Amino acid sequence: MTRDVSGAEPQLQRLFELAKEVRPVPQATRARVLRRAHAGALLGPSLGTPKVPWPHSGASTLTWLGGAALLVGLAGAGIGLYLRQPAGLPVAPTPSAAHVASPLEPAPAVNTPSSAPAAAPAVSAIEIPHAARLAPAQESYAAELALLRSAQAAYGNHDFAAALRLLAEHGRRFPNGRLAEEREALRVRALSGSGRGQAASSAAHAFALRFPRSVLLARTMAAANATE
Amino acid sequence: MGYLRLLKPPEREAGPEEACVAAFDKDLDYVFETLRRLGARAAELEDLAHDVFLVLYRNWSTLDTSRALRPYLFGVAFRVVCAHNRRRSREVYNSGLEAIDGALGQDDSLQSKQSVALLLSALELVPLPRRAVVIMHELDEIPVNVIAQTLAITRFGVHARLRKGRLELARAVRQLQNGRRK
Repeated sequence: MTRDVSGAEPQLQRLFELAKEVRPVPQATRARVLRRAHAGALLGPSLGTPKVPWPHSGASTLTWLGGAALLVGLAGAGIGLYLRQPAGLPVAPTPSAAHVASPLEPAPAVNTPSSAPAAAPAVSAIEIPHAARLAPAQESYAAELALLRSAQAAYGNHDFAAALRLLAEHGRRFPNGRLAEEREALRVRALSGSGRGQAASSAAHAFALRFPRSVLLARTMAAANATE
Repeated sequence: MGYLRLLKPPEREAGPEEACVAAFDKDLDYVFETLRRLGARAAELEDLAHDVFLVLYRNWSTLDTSRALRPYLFGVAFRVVCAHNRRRSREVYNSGLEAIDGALGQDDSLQSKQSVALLLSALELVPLPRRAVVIMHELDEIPVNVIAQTLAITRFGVHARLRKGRLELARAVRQLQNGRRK
């Protein structure tokens, strides 16, 4: 049996074509995920593997088991860390710390050494709730879009200083946001427009390194070269 | 016993752990994209991807690695997202329709990102079982029989979900576009 090619609406078909692209995961995220994967593999197949049932089956059991495992894990990891940490030594939060909130998550290992990467995060997960730390994707995208729109408006009005300020704010709030590519391209153009040729050139090189296959690359390099 | 020092230690072969992590690494972009398409929020992606890895790792020894891994990963991701959605079912998720406002569209790339955002928002309005089939078929171009096998449904079921899912998706896109124009 091959694909069912019976007609989706033309507009849908166009959207499907655009959305087929698989975006690359940022290197930092990839490294973090793979570190966790290695740690998960080290714990062995019997430890902490999430039970993933079919939809509409066994939800309450899973929730109960997940909650119990979470409690036991948190308590065990807390005791382990308390016993091993010298008094007064702060526990550094790690990027993967907040993930323990998920019941699907492997329970932090009670019987593994406290130096194991999977066991360490338990303490700071209580301090920083995941949902509170990061906004939902759609909200952040809307905020990104609003900021970038303002920056483009400022750029269109030749108010390069304002554009750069807004772009810097975008960069601070969404360093790896969905519109990071557009932000960096616009930054090069704004720097170029404000006559800062050297800064524009180095920003363009950074852009080329970060987004080597960007469709904006040619225009961005041209904008940087124009001021040199 | 000094001669023993001359013996080289045996080369460490890549074990199943390494092979599994390498396979996961290879398809990590796909896993993230699939989770995103299935409605996972950006803040949840890493945790859900880790859940996908743990399931993959648990079943690695029984997997037929000569076959394409992506349909299998999609099936796992689908179940992980289903389980996750049940946990957060009390939350009301605002899909942020203003995010697809087309006023900015000066760059082609930005426009295409808005189109993708429109599609993702519309997909969220399609119930997950049908959304999964539409994504697998239309975006991942997975054949119907493989979808049926992966999701453990009949081929007729795949066609039915696909047909209804497309209609719902088209309606959702129109709905979002109309809401945007108002």
